[in-house]
Parts: sequence; structure tokens; C-alpha cells
Amino acid sequence: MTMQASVAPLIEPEVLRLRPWVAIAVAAAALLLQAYLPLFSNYANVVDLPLLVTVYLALLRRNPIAGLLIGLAIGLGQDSLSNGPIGLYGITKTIIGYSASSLTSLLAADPLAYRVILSAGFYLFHQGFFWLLQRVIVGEGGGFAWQRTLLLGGVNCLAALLLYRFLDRFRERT
Amino acid sequence: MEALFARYRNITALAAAICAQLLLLGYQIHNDRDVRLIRIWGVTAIAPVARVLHGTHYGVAGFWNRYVALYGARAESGRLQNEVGRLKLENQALHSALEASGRLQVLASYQQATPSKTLVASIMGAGANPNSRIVFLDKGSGAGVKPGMAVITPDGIVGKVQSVFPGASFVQLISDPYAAAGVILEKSRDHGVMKGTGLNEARIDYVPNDEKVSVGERVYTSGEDRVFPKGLLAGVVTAVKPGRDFQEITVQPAAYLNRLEEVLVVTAGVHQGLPGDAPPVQPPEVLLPSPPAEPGRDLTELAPAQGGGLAGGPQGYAPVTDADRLKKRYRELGQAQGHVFGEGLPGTKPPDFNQGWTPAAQRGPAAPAVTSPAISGGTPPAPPSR
Repeated sequence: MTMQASVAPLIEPEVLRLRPWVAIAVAAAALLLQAYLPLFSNYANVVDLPLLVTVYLALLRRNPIAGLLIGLAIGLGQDSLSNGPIGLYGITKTIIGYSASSLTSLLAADPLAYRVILSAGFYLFHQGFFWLLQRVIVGEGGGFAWQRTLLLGGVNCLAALLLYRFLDRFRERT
Repeated sequence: MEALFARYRNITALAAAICAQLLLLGYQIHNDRDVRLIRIWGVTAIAPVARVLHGTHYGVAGFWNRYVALYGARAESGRLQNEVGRLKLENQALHSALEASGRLQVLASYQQATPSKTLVASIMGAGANPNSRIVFLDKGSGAGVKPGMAVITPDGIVGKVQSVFPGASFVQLISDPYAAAGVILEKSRDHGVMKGTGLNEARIDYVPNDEKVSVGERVYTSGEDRVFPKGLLAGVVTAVKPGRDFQEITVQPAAYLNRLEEVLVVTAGVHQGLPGDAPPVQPPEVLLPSPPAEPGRDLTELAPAQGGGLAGGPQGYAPVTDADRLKKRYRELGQAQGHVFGEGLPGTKPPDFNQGWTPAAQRGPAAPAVTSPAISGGTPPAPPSR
């Protein structure tokens, strides 16, 4: 009995997740703000809200298939609101969702700091992979702006810190 | 197989999702066609929310702008009204300064152009009597203003200085009933007297009925009144009708007597010509050639042997004028009477220059005058022998 009681928390730690409708609302709000805020400021699109939400939801789900579907849905939604061909954001965010969910089995991604750092890394990957897809498949795009991408990676890191702390308030035991 | 699929389920799903999207991309790019259905789904799902968000934003923004942001608007409005009032006053002051500057420039230009010496003065006020036409100047005896001086503007005459004080002076406008100025009409050159009527017009007296005066004719000062220098514009004829003895001529004064601000006081008047007065033509000086010698007369005999004066003339001088001939006759008379010109004290008896001169009554109608032969070059009558 003593042994069972001491092992159980190590095997299955308590997981706090968002309710499904909250997750859908958050994803929709991210897509909406990504399309709406640039109407008021050109600096509003430096933060990739759909990407941050994808990483956040995928890390919470801890399931690669679920992360894949989250990334696919958000990516296609972002594609549908953009003027480019549909699939570029979808593919990129599908990979990111899958990778983020897969990482939870390898490292403890629940602490806020880890998630924020992961978001910055995924942002850099997202920008690079998206640029590659544009160049290879669509045949568009110029040179890759490393400095700008790194700078915006820092900005998105800060945005992720604020966003994740806000979204953590809606997490519940499941 | 089932175990293999279960083992690679996740990566298989990922590959399937990526492949599906790659196919979708390939389809769009190859056929250059859009996957409209997915875009419709996305837009349809987002549009209602976006519409609500948009309406909310404008509602909040409108509420903020119309109510919240207007907090203190009344105080701000009052402050702005005060500011507008202050700026209006400042604007008027600047306009006045600008206009005054322009008027002073015109006055300065006119002051330089007119030959009379003038003094710039400003109008300080008007007379208290509504029937009199008097204005106050800000210059008085301290500035050299004296009673009787003419006051003018570049537009025309204004009046004359009536009373002078140390720092101010009264000017009787030309429209005052007791004001008058000697004038001359531009075309007919008739002289008259321009008198005020107490209104904004004047009249001209003493122009005969038979003189032709037309409406619109300009009237200039004649200088006869010893107040206004000749040649200043006094007014323009606005009405003419025959009177009992003289014409009744109404004149509109040239100066804007109701809008005077700066004037010129004529401290030393100089007469000017009227427009149309031709300047006196000076014939060019031409040295005419000497007249031809008279037949039978040698001019060299007329040439004096000595110097100038009655005693002689310059060498080679030929007496060709009446004065020369008269001088020659006086010299001959002097020689005949033993008189030497240039000698003798004052009071001594001069030679008798009338010797041999015969009055015209004794010479008869055909007898030529004494000077006639000289002028005509004839031989003067021989002096009677003593």
C-alpha cells in the first residue's frame, strides 16, 4: 500500500486542460485578432497569435494526433483568411502542433518558462519552414530575414509569456 | 501489421496530413485555382464574430468619443472661445498695423514726390460740433505747424490749419461751410472759389454761365488763396447747372474726408503745374550765320581799330547788329565833338548824342527815324557843322 501510494503521482501527474469550447474559442479569437488587429496598426501582425495558441493547445493536449489536428485546423483557418494558397500555414502549423505535443512525452513542458522558450523556438521554425514552402512550392518570397526573424522571435516570446499566463487561468482539472 | 501501424500511427497521421495539404497546394498551384470551399468555411466561421467585434469596437469607440472623451468639453470650449476672442483681437490689431503701414508708405512716397515741404500728422479726433467740419491733428506748434497751413493727402486737399496748440492743431476741412479755396477747372481753366457746404461735398462759385464745365472734370487748386499750393487736386465736378450770375457747380472733394487717418501738413508750399500744362518751350539756341554784306559797303570799315566798349571793339569785329551800328554812331559823334570815351570824371559834360537827330514831325511822314538808317544799315545823317 505504501509503495502504491508513493508511485502513483510519479506515473500520472495531474493535468490541467482547457475545456473544448474554451479551446475552440481561443483558437477562433486568435484567428480573428490576427485578421482584425492589423486594421489599426501595422505592428499588430508581428505577433503570430495562431502560432502561439497552437503551441499552447498542443502542449496541453499531450497527444500528437490531437496536436496535429489542432495545428491543421488553426493553420487552415489562417490560410482561409489570408490571400495565399491554402495549405502553407496548414502544413507548417500541423508539424508544429504535432511536434509540440510529441515533446511533452520527452520533457516536462508544463512550467511556463519552458513553454515560452518552446514558443520562441517554434516561431523560428515556423518562419523558416514557411519561407521554405513559399520558395519551393509556390516559388515566391525573397531572402530570409534572419535579423528580423530573431527580433520578432523575442517579441513573440514576450507575447507568449503574457498570453499563456492569461490562458492558464482557464485551465481546469480533467 | 496492426502493431506496426499502431507503433507509427502518429507519424503516419502526420504524413497523411502533410501529404493531403501538399496535394491541395499542388492542385491550387498547378491549376491556378483557389480552394474556395475552405476559404468560405473560414470566412463564414469568422465573419459573424468579426462583425460583432467590429460593432463592439465602434460602439465603444463612439461611446468614448461622444461621452467619456467629452468630459471637460465645456471647460475646453470656454477656454477655446476665450482663445478665439484673443486671437480675433490680435488679428484686428495686426490688420490695423498693416493698413497703417501701407498708408504711411503711400504718404511717405507722396511726401518725397511733392515739391512742397510737408509734415506727416495723424488724425486724433473730430470736432464736437456736428455742424462744423473740424478734425484734430496730433502735431501742433511744437512740430512747426502754423495756422493757415494747408493740409493735404495724396488723394487731394483736406483743409487748412485753423488753430494750433503745443501738441495738437485744429484743421478746418474743405467741406466746412466756412472753408474756401481758390481753384481752377482742369479743362476750361476757369478760376473759381471752392466752398464747403457742411456736407460731404463742396461747391464752386464765381464761374460764369457762359463757361463750359462738364461733369467729371477735375478741379485743382489755383494757389490764389495763398494757402494751398497750385496744382493740388481738390475734387471732381459732380453736377453743373446754370445760376443767376454764375454757374452752380457741385464738387466731390478728392480726399476721403470721412476716412482720414494720416495727413500731410504743408509747411512750405511750392506751386506745381496743372496736368496738361505744357512746360515752357525754350527754343534751341542757334548761332545764325552773319548776314551778307550790303552792296557797296565794306564791313571792314565798320570794324573798330581799337578795343572794346565805345572806344573800340575786338579786332576783326564786324558791326552787324543795331547795337553795333548805334555804337559806331556814338563813337563818330564823340570823335566829332572831341570826346574820348572812357576819360573824364563823372559830372563832366557828355557828348551831345542828339546832334544831327531830326524829330519825326519835322522829317515828315516819309522821313526815316534816326535809328532806321542804322538798323537798315543806311548812312546816318551827317552831324551839323559847328
